[in-house]
Formats: sequence, structure tokens, C-alpha cells
Amino acid sequence: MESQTSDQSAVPDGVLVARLRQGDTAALAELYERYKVPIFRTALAITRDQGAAEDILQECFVRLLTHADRIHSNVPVGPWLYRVAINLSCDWVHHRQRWSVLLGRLVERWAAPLRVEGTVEEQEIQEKVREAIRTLPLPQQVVIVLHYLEGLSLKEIAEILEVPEGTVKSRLHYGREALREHLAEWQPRRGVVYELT
Amino acid sequence: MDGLDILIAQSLQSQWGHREPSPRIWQRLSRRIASLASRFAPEEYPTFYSPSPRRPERIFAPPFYLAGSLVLWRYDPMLMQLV
Repeated sequence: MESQTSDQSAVPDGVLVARLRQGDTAALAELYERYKVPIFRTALAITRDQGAAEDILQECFVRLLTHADRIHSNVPVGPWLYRVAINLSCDWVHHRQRWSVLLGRLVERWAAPLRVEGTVEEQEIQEKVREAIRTLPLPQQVVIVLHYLEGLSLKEIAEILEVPEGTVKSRLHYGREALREHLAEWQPRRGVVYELT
Repeated sequence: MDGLDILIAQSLQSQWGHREPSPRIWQRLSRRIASLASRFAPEEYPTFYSPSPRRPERIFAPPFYLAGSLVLWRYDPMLMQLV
């Protein structure tokens, strides 16, 4: 995982978890610094809501504190945090689906970041890809986010989701195929052809 | 990795790859931890967790909240017996 490879001199997660069990909240601060960005980004990509992602990030670390006794101290804490964040994000999405989809889209467009990259055409197709990802079943969305946004391997994703690696591979495959079909339908109408093979 | 993989990665990275949580999240988290910490204080580390500053030293609550009721409570011997 990211934090374990980026700095060899860093205190291992297990040591920090052990300190956390003894009430050392400085250890929690260190773990927060280590994992806040990937956990937040993952929650944001699944929920697509800044406030929800921040709440989920906060809740993940509260649970890390309250469940420190149950976490193995000989393995990185990243997969555990990812798992909690994904479960909370999926719960949030299920609840959100009761609300108007139209309202959500309007808010997302209104709250879109000012930073823009690439040409208008590139932005347009990237937006189309993100919309297409949103239409996928949630388990496929999760795998796509972890793989393409977080850069995790299939094995790492399988460990986080506690499913066989074949299941992750299958979700990724079906997700990609659905996206390919979705975008293929859209391209002829736009008169633009992208190489998607 | 083919064209579709690159397109998916670019789409996700351009939207969320540079996003970071606000610093106020840690402040909120710290406050929540402070309130939780006193509840989860292990017995072997009693001094690490100071009691919440909002908790009063002694709880004194009159049986009635209104000022008039307080007067009644203070001076009416019958009510005193009931209390």
C-alpha cells in the first residue's frame, strides 16, 4: 500500500496501532496524515459529494480509534481503512438514491471545481466517462475507482474488499465492457471516434 | 493497458486525483476524539485522559427550572419534604 512503500524510515502502521491502543492520539494523527488523501479521494469518487466524503473520512478515523483493539498490528492499516470508507460510501449512495437524481446532478455541476485540464472536447468525453461510471452497479464502480484512481492492483483490491481476486477481475472486466458499449453509443452521435480497443 | 483504460484513468484523475480534505476535518476529528477519549480511557492510563472541561465539578440542579419554582422549593417546607 501507498504509505508502506513511500518512506522506508516511517514508523510501521502496526507500531502506531499498538500506540493507539494505549491511548496515544498522536499515533492517530500520524495515521491520519498517512491515509487521509487516499481515503478521502476514494470516498469522494464513490459518493461524488465533498461533505459526505469528509464525514466518511472523519468516521473512518473515529472507528480506527474505537476498534484499535480488533485491528491486527502486523499488517498495514490501509486495507482496513479503505474497507470502512467503501462500506460507508456505499451506504451513503444507497440512501442518496432516494433523493432526486436530477437535483444531485445539478448540485454536482454547480459545485464542480474551477480547475480544468485539457481541451473542451477532452473535458466533455471525460465527463461522459464519469457519467457512464455512475450508471454501473456499485461493486463495479468501487473496483474501477480503486484500480484507476488509487492505482491499486487486483490483489490489493481483493484484500480490501475481502473477495477472491477472480471476483475483482470479473467486476473490472464487466465494468469496462459496459463503459465501452456506453461510449460507443455516444461517439457516433458526436461524430468523434476515440480508440477504445 | 489500452485506450479505454487510459481514458477511464484520465477521467477519474482529472476530477478527483488532486483533491484533498480540508484541514478543518482534522480539527473536527480532534474534538470528537477528545470527547470519545474520556469514555474509552483504559484503566491503566487514568491520567492521560483528562476529564472534559465542560463537565462541572459538582452537579447541582434544582428540581424546578423556573425562578419562581426555585423560590417555592427553597422556602416551602412541605415541598422541601417532597424533594
